[in-house]
Formats: sequence, structure tokens, C-alpha cells
Amino acid sequence: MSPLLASIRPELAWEPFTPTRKSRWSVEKAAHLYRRAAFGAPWDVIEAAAALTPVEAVENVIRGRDGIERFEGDIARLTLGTLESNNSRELQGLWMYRLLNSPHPLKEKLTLFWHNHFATSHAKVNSVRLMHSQNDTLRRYALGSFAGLLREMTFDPAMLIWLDSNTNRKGAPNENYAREVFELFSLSPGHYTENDIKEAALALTGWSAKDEQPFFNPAEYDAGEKTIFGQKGAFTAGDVVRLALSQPACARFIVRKLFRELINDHDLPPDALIEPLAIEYRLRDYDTGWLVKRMLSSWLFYSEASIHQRIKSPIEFVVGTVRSLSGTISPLQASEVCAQLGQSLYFPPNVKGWDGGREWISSTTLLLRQNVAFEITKGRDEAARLDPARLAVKYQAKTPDQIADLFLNMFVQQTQSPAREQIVTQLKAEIESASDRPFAQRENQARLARLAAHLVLALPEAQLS
Amino acid sequence: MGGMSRRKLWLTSWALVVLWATSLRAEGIPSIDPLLERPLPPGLVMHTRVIDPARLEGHPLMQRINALLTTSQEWQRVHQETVGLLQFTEAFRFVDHQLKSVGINEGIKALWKRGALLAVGEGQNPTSGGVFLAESDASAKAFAEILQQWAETELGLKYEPQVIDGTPVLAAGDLHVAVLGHRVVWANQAAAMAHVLAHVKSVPAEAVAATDPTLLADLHVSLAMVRKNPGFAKGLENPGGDLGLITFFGGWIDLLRRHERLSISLHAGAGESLSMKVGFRESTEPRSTALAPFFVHGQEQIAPPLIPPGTIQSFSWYRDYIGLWNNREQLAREEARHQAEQGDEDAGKMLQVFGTSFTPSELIAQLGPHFRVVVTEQEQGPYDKVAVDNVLPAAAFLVDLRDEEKFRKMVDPFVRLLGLIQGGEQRVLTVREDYKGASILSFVFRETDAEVRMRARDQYNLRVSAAITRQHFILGTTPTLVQAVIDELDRPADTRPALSQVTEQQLFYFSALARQFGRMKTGAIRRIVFSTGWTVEQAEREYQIALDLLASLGEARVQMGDDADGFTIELLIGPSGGPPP
Repeated sequence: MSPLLASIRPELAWEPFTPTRKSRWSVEKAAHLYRRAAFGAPWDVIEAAAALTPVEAVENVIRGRDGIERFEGDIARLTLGTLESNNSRELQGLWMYRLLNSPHPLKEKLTLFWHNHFATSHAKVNSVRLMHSQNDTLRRYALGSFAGLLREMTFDPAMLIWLDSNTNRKGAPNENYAREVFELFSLSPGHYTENDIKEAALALTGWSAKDEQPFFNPAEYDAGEKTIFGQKGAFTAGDVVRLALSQPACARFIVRKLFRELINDHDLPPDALIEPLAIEYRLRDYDTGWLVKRMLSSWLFYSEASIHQRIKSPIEFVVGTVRSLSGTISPLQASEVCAQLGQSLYFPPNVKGWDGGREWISSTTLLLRQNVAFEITKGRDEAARLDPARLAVKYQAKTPDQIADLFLNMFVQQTQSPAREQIVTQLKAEIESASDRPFAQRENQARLARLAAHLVLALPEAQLS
Repeated sequence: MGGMSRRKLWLTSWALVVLWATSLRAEGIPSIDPLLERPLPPGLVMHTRVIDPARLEGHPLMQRINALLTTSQEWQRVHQETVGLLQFTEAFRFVDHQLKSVGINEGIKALWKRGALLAVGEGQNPTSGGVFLAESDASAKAFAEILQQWAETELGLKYEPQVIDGTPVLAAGDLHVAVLGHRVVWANQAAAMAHVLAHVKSVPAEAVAATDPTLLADLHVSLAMVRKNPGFAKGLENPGGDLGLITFFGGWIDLLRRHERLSISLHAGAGESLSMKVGFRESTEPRSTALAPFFVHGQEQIAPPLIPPGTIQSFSWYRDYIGLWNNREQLAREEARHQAEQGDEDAGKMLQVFGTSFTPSELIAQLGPHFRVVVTEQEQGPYDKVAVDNVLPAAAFLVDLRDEEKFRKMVDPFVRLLGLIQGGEQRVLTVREDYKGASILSFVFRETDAEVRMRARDQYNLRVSAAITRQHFILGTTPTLVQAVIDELDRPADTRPALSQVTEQQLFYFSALARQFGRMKTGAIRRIVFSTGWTVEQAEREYQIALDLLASLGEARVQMGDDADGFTIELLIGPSGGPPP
């Protein structure tokens, strides 16, 4: 166990964070909340959150901003044409539009989390409608009941195709979904036997996807008695879900996964830390909204064991950068860039999903991230929507020190970073070579701002959530 | 001179000139600095004139466009946030403010109130020079002083007074500036300055009536310079090395080859319209007879453009492809000719698979030389079961036939083959219907639920239809439009004036286009949002502004052909206040 986690007392870890003299509510903590729960936010939003109490700030993030209904109306208008195009690239663009613009980014964050949990790939399903329908289900239950979500996923047509339920028939069972529902979706290895899988596969027979709907064919269903987790019965698919949910391991598994998503992606939390949450999560019928709120409000969340203890996924990096710059970017372009960085929406590499954590970073992807940062911050005239120069003007940052501090604050909240001096030196060198044409001052300052933003985004610290 | 003294004569003459100039103004004929009328010396690569900046800026069409653009948040954002533009506008505002502070009320606009000239000479480091025709002598003088102060304080340049041919000139490095009355003369080299000054001083300063009162601005480019570019030279060879290129572009290449100058001029048109003319001028030799089939010639005329209900665009042009093919010996080099002939023969053999017995050139011989295209509004898709959300316009192409029966027999094997393909589980069916004695053959997508689910709905805008009738071959995206075209062909003789020497005409009706774009709004918004990152709200707002802008343009007409000055392409855009062309 890491020393950071070891120092946390389990009985206090999940208590609501209350500011003290030693641990104040600050811009740093507000930024941490928005990075984890909302892909980041513009600087003025973070400053406003820092002026609230932690409870209020978390409440805002949980609830989302005003305008959700209108936003969903816009999404509906975009969705119809996207589905009719039957084009997976547009489907990716549609979700990326949500990620970039949703007034409720926490819901999108959790939808993405569940997409990785119930990893299903368009590569095999090959239907924009079905993948979109699954995505809608994930979103509906993102902050809702995991129990309901697991039930829905069991009969989701995209999932039925993905895990070969179409070929799971009486007399010729296919164990694919049975295995994954226990191993990856609800319990994790070590909490079921091979026999449980075999018997569950029998209970799951008869279901397939037909005309883009779940279809049950009684003739293909094995109605005989099965034994699952030591219990006997003529179990059906619904029973498989119920039995999985009844295992204590299920709640622990989901809590651990959300711990990795929201708290810390590389240190294994001890059982003592997980158990209290798991018990209550199960008692609350797997209310994910409650669990997330509990985590985001906790001492642990605002401790050193959590702040900057996750590596940003490509989507968190790209979307977070754009949101922090108060900018916009083509959703199609953004999803392509994320795919190049290793995370292609609707195309997880396999049923386990993306491993995340340190797997996001290699020498290749790090270089790619730096290139992406450059592309985003180079501020082509017509793409002033992403131009860091606008922020430098807005916050009246003119000198190299001011500009460096602005972006270090904005992106990593570390104006004392060892990299600061290097950045300032580079900015000063840029001034030396700047144009002395009349009215070039504005252009010179713009170049400094863009360079500073790029340098900060290329820092290792900027890859951490 | 009888009883009149010289002085009285002079005064009387001058009074008459003033009266005459005033009467011209009263009649609406603008008076301009004669410098704008005087031909420039030869050897220039390019020169441009702005004759009437205020009229250009104040033109109702420009005003309307500007008013709409100012409502566009995106337009405002680009202007307010694009660093390069900001720098330019800051410099502009600085000079403007300085001029106003010394009593030049119109600010920087006073500098070119009466027009401007710019010319560029030849050479590796081309010489350039020009004249700003200021509102008054005082404005010109004030500008030169401000320029000098600004350059010295902001740029650190030191303007040295010089004298060139007796005229005081300020020089800072290569930049030379002089003020002659209301004329601010500049050039980028001393030698160029001498030429510009000599030209300016040779032209009196008193205003004269404009020869062409409609002319607002123009640009002239030396085509001789373009021809010298090695990249162009190969393509301009005659005979050429690519018969395909010659067939489709030969006439245009020939224009470039035979003319010395390209002129582009902007004119105030009738009503609220603007006209732009692009002219090939000063030809060195007549068009070769081998290329005659490319454009209208002799007694030939284009067919009148079709204008069925809901027309967005109508296009009519003349092109005698078989005439060009028959002249291939003169048009293309031997190797290119043989290649094309071999290709034609080989293609003919391949077509025999379909049961035909002709080569492509024999088929083309039946087509033309009158071609027409029409694009019309479509309020809904052409299918009964499938409603398209993105309603695209309909389009039709037609060409006259030299021998309708012969053409029909030629294409019959293809039609029979298509008839064999359909049926069973094929995705496309063929349907025949009769309309006023014409048989219309349509290719139709199946409308089963499965097909509709798997297919992008935009395809259901197409119900491609063809007919051979009235000595024409008609191909359209919907049978409804093909029927409308047949109705147009049946219309009594066109009463519109014949377009003599017009080889091509295009008509645009922007209101109809705006309406059609309005029907395509859902799909367009989605594409805009996905490609730009705008929100739906932003995209809808800007799209509506674009539609309003389009509708405000009224209509446009493009026509081109030989005329007394050479070859002219004219674009007339904006509400003309008169009947449609």
C-alpha cells in the first residue's frame, strides 16, 4: 500500500471534507474537483467555485449547470441525422460534442466510465443506432442505480451482439456473456467458479438481438434447473443479474473501480477503506449518484492521496484543455485526436476496455500529447476560440512572469513548479526575437501566451488529473 | 477675338467649364480626377483603380450585406479577436484619429475620397507605385505630415527630403512620397517614383466627366507575364499535347494565349445591382477556326436557359464536342491524337459487351451543341414512404440531339441491361411512366424498412430519371423535374431577346436558394456543429444570417462571349429592379 493511502484513517477517509487552517478550501482543490468530476473548467468557474463552500461546489458539480433541458433538445436535433447517417465517425462526434459542451459534465464523465466498464465496440456491433442506444442507457444510469444498469446491459442489443448472446442457445451454450458479466461487469475474478459461469450461460440462453431489439425465443432457452453461487433454481437471465448483485463482492468491485476513476489510479486501496462504502452502496441498491457524491465530498478526495494522482486519459486531456481555454473545437477533430492518443470513443480495444492509468503514457503518446497541445494553442487567427492569447488579455497578463503564472495556475495550479523558471526564460528569449514593428505589441504578447500555454500543457504535471 | 479681352475670354471659358461640370453633376454623371482616365504606360504587370470609393462603399447591396454581417457574432469575433486584423485596424484607426484631430473630418477616408491608383511593374523586385486622390489639398498635405511623423516615431525611419524632376519628395529608404495638390504620390523605388511623378504631372488636376459613369473600380493584369511562367507555358502550347484538356478547356486556354491583358471591373448596375466584368483584351490574333466549335460562332446561339417553377440556377452553354473532335488534327499533336483515337476505338470494343456497335466519339456526335442544366427547389423528397429530413434541390441536365432515333438505338442496349439487373432483392428498381408522349425511365431505391434503416436517408432525394424526347436527352434527379423540363420544352417560342454572341449564360435566384438551404437546415446545422465546434444555438443563428444574406442578393446573371473589346464574362448580381433576365 502506498504511504499516502496508508496514512489515511479509514473511518475518516469518507467523511465530508471541512476546511481547516491546515487544509483550506482553495483554488487548487476547486480545480482538482473540476478536473476529476468535469474534465476541467474555465478559470473563472474555478475561482467562483473556490469562493463557495466545498459542499456547495460539489453540489454544483453533481447537479450541473442551468440549461440542461435546452442542451438535450439540441442533442436530439443532432442525433436524428447522426443515426440516419449510419456513420460511426459522426456518432463519435456527437458524443464528443456532449463531452465538450454538456452543462452536466459529471454525467458525461460517468457515462464514459460505464462505457469503459461495459466495453462494447462498434467494430463488431456495426450499428450506429445500437451503439447510440447503449450509450443512452449508460447515460440514463450514469448517476443512477448500477443494479438497474446491469439489468439493462444484459438485454442491450449491442451487448447481445458484442458478447455473442445470439449464439447462446439451448443445447449449445456460449459462455461469453456469462463469463464477462461475472469477471468484468459485476464481481471480478476470484468471486465465482467455472461452474457458476456454465450454469449462468444456460440461464442466459434464448436471448438475441433481432431487428435492433432484444428478442427472447423460448425455444432456445434452457429452462432446466441451474446452480449458481450455491443456489438452485430454474434461473433466467434476470436471475443471473440478481444473483450477481447479491454478492458482496459486487459492491466492492464497483467501489474499487470508481475509486480508481475518481480518487487514485495506481495505488490499491485497502479493504478497510473500501468496505464501508461498499456496504452502504449495496444497501442503497447500488445508488451510484450517492457513491460519487460521497467520494467527491470526502477528505480522501481532497488529500495528497488523490490530488494529481491520476493520469489524464486522452479524452480528459483534450476535452479538459479545451474547456480550460473556454474554447471550442470541432468534435470530429477532437475525437480523431483522442483516437490517435489511444482512446477512440465506441471502439474500446477489447471487452476489458482501456486499461488507463500508466498505460496512457508512452514515449509515443507523450510526444503526441505535446503535439496536440501545440496544435490547440497555436491560435490560428480564425480559431481564436482556442487562442490562449485571449485569456492573457482577459486576465491582463503581460510580462513573461505574469503569463507563465497565469497558465501554470490555470492548468496545473502550481506556480511554484520547478518548470516555471524554464518557461519564463523561454518567454524572455521569445521577446528578444519579437518584432518591433508598430502595433506588433499585441501580436508579440499573443505569441508569448500561446508559447506559455503550450509549454505548460506539455509538462508532466499537466498530464495528471 | 473681336471686342473680348483675353482676360474676359478666360473668365468666360472657365465659367462655362464650371457650369458644364456642375450640369454633369446635376445629371448624375460623376466627375473624376482625369488621372483615373489616362491610360498608363505599357509594361506594367498589374494596375488597379478605385474610381468612386464612396459609391462603392455606399452601394445599397454592399450596405445590406454589411448590415447583415454586423449581426453575425462570428464575424464580429473574427474582427475583434484575430490578431493580424487587429493590428491592421489599429494602424487604420491611428491615422484616422490623427487626421480628424487636425480637422480632416472624414479622417482616413479623405485620403482616397476621389479614388486611388496602384501599379506594379516587372522584375524580380517589382517596382510599384500609386496615387491616392484625396478629398482636398489640405487632406493630402495633412496625411503626408502624419505619415512622416508616424514613420519617424513608430518605425524609427528618417524621411529625407529629395527633389525628383523638380518635385519635392520625402524618401525613407526605398519608400518615396510626394504631394501634388490633392494627389499623394508614392513609389517603392526612386526610379519608379520618377516615372509615377512624370505621369501624374502630365495629367491636369481639374475634374472631368467620367467616361463610364458606372465604373467603380478595376484591375488589369498583364497576361504576357502569366504566359512567361514556365508552369503555364506547357499548357498553352498549340497544338496541345492533351486532347482531353483541349476538349474541356481549349477555348479558355486559347483566350489566355491570344490576349495581352485581363481586365476585371466593378460597375454599378441597374437598380441595386452590381456588375463585375472580366475581360480578355488586346488580342494578338483571331481565334483559330479549329477552336471555333468551343464557343458560339457565326449564326449559332445558345438555347434559352430553362426557368421552371422554383428555379435556383439555370445554365445554358454551347459546346460542339464532335466539332472539336473532327478538328483534332489541328488541335492536338500527333501523339496525343493517336492516343485519343486508340482510346476511342478500344472503348468502342469494350462497349460491345453491352451489345453496342459504336465508339464514344460516335455517341458524342449525337449530342449537342446546346447544353443546359437547371437546379430547382424541392419541397419534399420524391418518395412516398421515406421522408427525407435533408431535402436537397433537384437538378436536371439536357442536351439536344442531332438524330433522336439514332441516339435512342445507341443507348437501347444499356436500358435493356438495366432492366435485366432489377428484380429480386436488388436495391434499385427501374420504373417507366409516360408523360405527354415521352417515356420517362426512373431508377428507384427500394423503400423497405430494412433498406431505409441501413441506408443514409439523403439518398432518398434521388429518383434518377431519364427521357429521350423532343430531340433532347434529359437526365434529372427526380421525374417531377424531368416532367417540368418537358413542359418547358413545350412552351411556346421564347420571347426573350436573343443573346447574340453569348456562348454561356447562368442565372441564379438567391431567394430560391435561400429557401432550399432552409430546408437543408437540419443536416447543415449538424455538419456545421461537428466541423466547427459551435454550439447548436450559435450554428443556427449564423446559418440564419447566411440565409438572410443570400436572400438579400436577389438574383445574379453570368454571361460570357465575344464582344467588340475581346471576350467578356459579366456577372450581374443584386436586385435589378427589373424583370428577371
